[in-house]
Amino acid sequence: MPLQSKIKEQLIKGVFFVAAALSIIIILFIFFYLFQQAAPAFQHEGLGIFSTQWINEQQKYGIGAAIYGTLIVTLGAMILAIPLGIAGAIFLAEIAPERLRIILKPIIELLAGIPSIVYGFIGIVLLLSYLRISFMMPTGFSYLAGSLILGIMAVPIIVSISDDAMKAVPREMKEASLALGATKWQTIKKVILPTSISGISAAVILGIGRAVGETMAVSLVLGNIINIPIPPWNIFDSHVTTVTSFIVTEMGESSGLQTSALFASAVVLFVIVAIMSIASNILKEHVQKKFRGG
Amino acid sequence: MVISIKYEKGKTKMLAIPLLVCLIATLLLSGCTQNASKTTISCGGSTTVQPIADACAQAFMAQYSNVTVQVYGGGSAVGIKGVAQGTYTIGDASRAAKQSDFTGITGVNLTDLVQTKIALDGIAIIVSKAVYDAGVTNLSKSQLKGIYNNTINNWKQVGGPDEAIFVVGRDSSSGTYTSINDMLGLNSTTQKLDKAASENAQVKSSVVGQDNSIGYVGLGFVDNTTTPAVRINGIYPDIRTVKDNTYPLSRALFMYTKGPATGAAKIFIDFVLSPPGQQIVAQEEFVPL
Repeated sequence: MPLQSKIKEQLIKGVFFVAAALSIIIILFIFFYLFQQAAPAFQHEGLGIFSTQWINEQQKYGIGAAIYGTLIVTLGAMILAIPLGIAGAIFLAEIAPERLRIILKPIIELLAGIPSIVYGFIGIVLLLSYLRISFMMPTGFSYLAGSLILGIMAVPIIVSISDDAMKAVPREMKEASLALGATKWQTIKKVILPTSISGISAAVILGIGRAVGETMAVSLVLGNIINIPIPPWNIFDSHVTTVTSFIVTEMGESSGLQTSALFASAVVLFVIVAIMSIASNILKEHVQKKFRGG
Repeated sequence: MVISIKYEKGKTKMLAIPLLVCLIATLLLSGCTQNASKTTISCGGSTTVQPIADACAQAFMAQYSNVTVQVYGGGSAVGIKGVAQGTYTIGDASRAAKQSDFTGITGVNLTDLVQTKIALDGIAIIVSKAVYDAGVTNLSKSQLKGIYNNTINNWKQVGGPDEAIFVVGRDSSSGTYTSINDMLGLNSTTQKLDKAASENAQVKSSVVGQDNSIGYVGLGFVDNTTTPAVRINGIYPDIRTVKDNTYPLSRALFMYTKGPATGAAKIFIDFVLSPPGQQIVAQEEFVPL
């Protein structure tokens, strides 16, 4: 009997090990393939890959305009999502009565799980014509539409993680502040926010990561033209694209060096998202240390 | 499992499993080696013909396992020059070969090439229903060019309502994008789009979604209730006008060989012309012969 259970234990251990090893191997294959496919473009273009000229006939493959588009769409999304997200989290963690919180929290977490194509579809059906009419734009396709969709998608992530960070602030600290005669708002401003700031930062970075990597929803509401609008901050222009949206639009029938250049844009994107993910992990660890007295 | 005896039990799994995974991966990847006894033919040129050549090559190689068909792009000129110089077995072109293609090539001339028509290409211009109903039912080729290089940017200029034109097109790697450039005398810096879609169906939905749009699609994507096609120079796009070449945005697609095709190249071209080959032509949104 003990021998049998030992074998069983080893077997289960092995199964889990295979699962873990497999996911690492798959990731390594993806790295390898991505960089291998992108290599010809990096060789051909050098730093020119960051230029803003993408001209098929001349074999010029600069993705600078798409990177710019990703940055500006994400910036717009964050201007919308950060204040809304943090305010929402403060309400959930500190102000909402327990009964309301129990209902709200799962709903907000559910929002984070809605597939992006659904957001994109809502965007193309409702948002575009709304923007076109309200801003008297020639078309609804624009940075603005992309930023709005991405902002809405990032809010639930920021709310949910920031709320966890605020809830992790030890009760004693809050009680001490209130006992000293501070108002609720003073407590939030001087105690809750400063102590949970690294958790909130992690939430924001994760939100940005989602916005940067999002593909379907943005590609539906942008013009997908690789171009920097004039002036560059013209958020109403449709002649814009993001890295993800550009890849999904052009990949279908591309060939040769062009495909490789699209892989190169994927590498750039990969590096951006990897840096963000690492930064958010470091911040999260920082939070955990803080409250474990480490 | 032989290795496992030498090590302590807990660690054996750690060693054996990655080894096993590596072995499986090697086995999976080892299918990529080439067989020396295979005949290889190359087929390159026009990027419009490329999707047809690609899809036909896949189907062809599934049937004739001893032949490898390599498909390349590059453009019609590259295809014609390539077949003349022997770089390609078959040269793809979306236009007829011209004397000027042979400048700088010695020993071969235009008459040495044998032309085979493999498919027809017709592009329909669709507009939003509102624009069509307001009277834009016909455009001249030069008006169309004006719209696609943005020298015409209001529907008023072509007899429609006083509204900005929203110009929808395809991604720059698409064959249809290249075709429109060739037919209208544009290139990727002068074709100015407001929205690039990655598929015909997406062009259609972008045109439906805006009531001031124009777009180009394969013939099969015209729908007169939502996205009516306009006449070009007075001619309506359909299979008949594309076949008799009266429709201005139509052309024939060719495969060229140096001298009559022989061996594997002949079998491949015959396959493209056969019913299954022509079915692939239709699948790739071109008009079969």
